[in-house]
Amino acid sequence: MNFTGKILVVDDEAHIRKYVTLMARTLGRPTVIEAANGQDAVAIFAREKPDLILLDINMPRMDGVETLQAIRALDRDCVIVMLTSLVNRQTVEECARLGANDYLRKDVPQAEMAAQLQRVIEEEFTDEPPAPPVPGP
Amino acid sequence: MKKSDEPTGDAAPAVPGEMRYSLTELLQAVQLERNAPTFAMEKLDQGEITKLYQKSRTRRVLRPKK
Repeated sequence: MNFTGKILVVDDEAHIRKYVTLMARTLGRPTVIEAANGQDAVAIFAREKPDLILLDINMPRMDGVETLQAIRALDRDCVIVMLTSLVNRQTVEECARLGANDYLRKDVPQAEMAAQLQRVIEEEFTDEPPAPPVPGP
Repeated sequence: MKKSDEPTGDAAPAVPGEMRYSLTELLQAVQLERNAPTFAMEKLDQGEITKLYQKSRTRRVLRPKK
């Protein structure tokens, strides 16, 4: 799938944002927006309504779990993928409970991360219009 | 000459006795393990994480770019 949606990359480290942005651009022709912390992410989300959010967890001021809760309170439908090196069961399960759509490890080779992100996009999005309702008898 | 504690070979092999476990106790043990801090801090690999997140997904149609 050639992804053409809008992606919000949230990470406090600029080089990670750049790395993830470059990787996201290999998946199609997305519009990529960046935020350096959770507070900015919530504000940008409200303004830009991205299709997909790639959200780090360890961030100052407002961490990824709090950001996930804040965005889910605004929108129940957008796709939120946690992208983090924090992989303990408690955090993974908490994010699932709070409404994250998926959870990807950040501490893996770029090709593996890109393949995982491609999988998520294939599972969450389609570029085909929904089938028309079948008329009843 | 054989040592006295060596198996003689003509004795019938020992048959393990039947073990029965209480389902309630097993479930309690599982619950205790799940609540243990070491379980909560267990590091998961991507395969395990993906399994936790597998559920019925509603695929979204991408909006056209303006």
